[in-house]
Amino acid sequence: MSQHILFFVHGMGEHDETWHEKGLGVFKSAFNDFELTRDIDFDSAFHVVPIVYNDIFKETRERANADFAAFKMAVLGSIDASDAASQQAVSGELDKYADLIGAGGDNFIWTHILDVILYRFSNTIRMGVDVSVAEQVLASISNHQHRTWSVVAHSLGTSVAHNTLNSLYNTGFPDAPNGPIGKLDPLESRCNTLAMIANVSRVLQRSDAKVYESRVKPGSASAGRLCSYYLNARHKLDPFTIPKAFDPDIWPDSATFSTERYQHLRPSHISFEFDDLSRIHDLDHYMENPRVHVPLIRSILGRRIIGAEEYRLAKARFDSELRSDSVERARSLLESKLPSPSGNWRNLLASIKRLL
Amino acid sequence: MNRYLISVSILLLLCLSPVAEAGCDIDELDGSMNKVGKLYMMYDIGDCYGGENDANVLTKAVRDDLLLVKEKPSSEAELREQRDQLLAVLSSIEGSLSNMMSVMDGQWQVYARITIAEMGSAKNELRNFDSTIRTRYWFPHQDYSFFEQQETGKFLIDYAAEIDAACPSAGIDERCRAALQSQIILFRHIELVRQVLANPVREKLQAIHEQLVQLDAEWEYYFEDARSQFWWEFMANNAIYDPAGDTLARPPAGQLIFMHFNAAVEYVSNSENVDRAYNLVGIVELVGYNRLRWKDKDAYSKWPVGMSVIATYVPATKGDDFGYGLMAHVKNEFSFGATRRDTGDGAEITWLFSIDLSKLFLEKSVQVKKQFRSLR
Repeated sequence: MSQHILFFVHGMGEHDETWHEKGLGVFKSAFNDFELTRDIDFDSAFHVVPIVYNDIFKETRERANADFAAFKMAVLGSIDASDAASQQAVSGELDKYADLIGAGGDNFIWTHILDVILYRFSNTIRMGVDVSVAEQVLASISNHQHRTWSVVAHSLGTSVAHNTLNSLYNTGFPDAPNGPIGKLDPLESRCNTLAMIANVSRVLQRSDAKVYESRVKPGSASAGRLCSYYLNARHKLDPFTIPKAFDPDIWPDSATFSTERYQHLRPSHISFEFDDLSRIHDLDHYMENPRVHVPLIRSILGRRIIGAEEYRLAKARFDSELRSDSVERARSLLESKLPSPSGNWRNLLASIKRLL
Repeated sequence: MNRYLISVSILLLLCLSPVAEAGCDIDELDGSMNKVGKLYMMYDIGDCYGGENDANVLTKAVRDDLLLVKEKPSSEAELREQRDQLLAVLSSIEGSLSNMMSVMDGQWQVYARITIAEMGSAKNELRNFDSTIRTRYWFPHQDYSFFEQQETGKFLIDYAAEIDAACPSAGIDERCRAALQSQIILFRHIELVRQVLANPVREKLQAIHEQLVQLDAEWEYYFEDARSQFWWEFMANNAIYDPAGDTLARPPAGQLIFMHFNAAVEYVSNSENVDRAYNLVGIVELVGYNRLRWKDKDAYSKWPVGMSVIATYVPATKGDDFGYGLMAHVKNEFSFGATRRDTGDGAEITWLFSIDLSKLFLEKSVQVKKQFRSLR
């Protein structure tokens, strides 16, 4: 059966092949809320593909950590085993140094923030990730009977999705191992909906692949645009998405902008307690809001699949369920932690640390 | 008899369809004020028109013919044979729509004419081996339209308003039925053309995927088999690797080594001043280079080699804590070196040997990754 392929591209941190299930579960359950989508057999209509690339970060980190552990073992082995005080002192110093350079135990800085830094600033890491993601996408779209394919990217994944799509369609593979081959052509195959959830692609953009100017834009395939719809979801209180925000004006051009093929989704809900502020950035938290999942459903299955009145009622119902003192306290706390909109990637990293 | 009833009767006769699959019958739309949305769902999710759940004779014939089309042509003659087969199928779809046109309702005759003209363009694309095959052009847009024009951004077929006008109420009268049947005919023929064009495009995507598998395998080698790197080394390697931001490229031909912590077994020949002749010592590769392939166009060498300037750190012994020297690396796994260090009786040469412990003890993520991907 011709299915819609739905790729999920994760963000920073530890992810395995089940990482997407929470966000997907929220998206799936939203189908129960509307007349025409209620009877859809989701698993028959969609072929869901979680894209995983953090194995690169994990493997490289583990290998380096093993080398440092060997270094530490060797240094401690040089000290007389009966000199416990010296052993302890040197071990302590080495542990401090290990934590400083990320060779100690896994903590958030090294399992999350370093992912962002390395992807942005290491050419080899970035290229390895982009090639891995490109291979995973092509594995599905080349071997699967599908009607359309769409991408739901989250956080760092928005930068990865942008760069990978941009590269796949631009220069091809001039130095491919078995000889140069051509690039992908949007007239032959392209992304239907690019949903960029917690979009940080602009703050992480490279100077030679700027997100407003690349071909990763919505519009006509004949005009070389790489997606039909571009949904840019930025929660109003998500500090990750504030520095150098993806917030273009009448983009990519006035004619396309007027057709709503680019949509800026600005949820502002909070559905968690004040002691769990990092949830503001989570994919499933974004997906809960009809202001996010309804445009996504409509962009894939047709504008009229959810009528205006149904949408209005869904929003009203959702908003009415989110009132409590704890939620308001969470809102105040988040508002106090918001970074400057004029910030750059340093501010982004500072935001991440402040939130945790 | 009523004009619409005649049209509907002829359409039914010409289609020669067996009873529609469950969920595909036009009467499913009876009672709905959202016939456009629901009909699209039947086409898109339900695969009712031109898809797997379409019992129509034309659909069955085209789908059977597509199974017989030559796959993966390896010569120009075979490519021509494949394209001729696809052109024949496309001609049958074109002929079917031409036959249908006269009994289609009002504006749908115009749409049918437009679709037939576009089929002509699609045939030209199939005849020209170098041409882009505009499969995406044949996809419906989510605003219920087909054939987007680059210059204007408008669509040549925009059927939603036509159906709304023909079906103003929840029920299905003759006019509404004729409009819906006409749209179904259009859906069917457009979907079948899309499937014809998807055939060679899928082969192109498969060829690109095969290349990406090779490229990805090279990157796996770089991260998992080549020498390990700390995060600052990944940054330092930007000095020798800086591909353009919109390219998918091979890994670099080599690795810069910088302040890399490691361990090695040290042999001290003059062992009077040391507890043992062989000791495990901490080393820091201060700077070095590991060559992974010899010419840019080659695959990675079976014998990658490298060299580093190193410092050893051996605290709490007689003599110096630090020694300095050189280390050679072979096959990304074995390293042999020598340092000059005062072991307590003057400076002497010490000999070093090291292996990549991470390869012995860490499960390769590539194995996990492959298993995960093969589960799909």
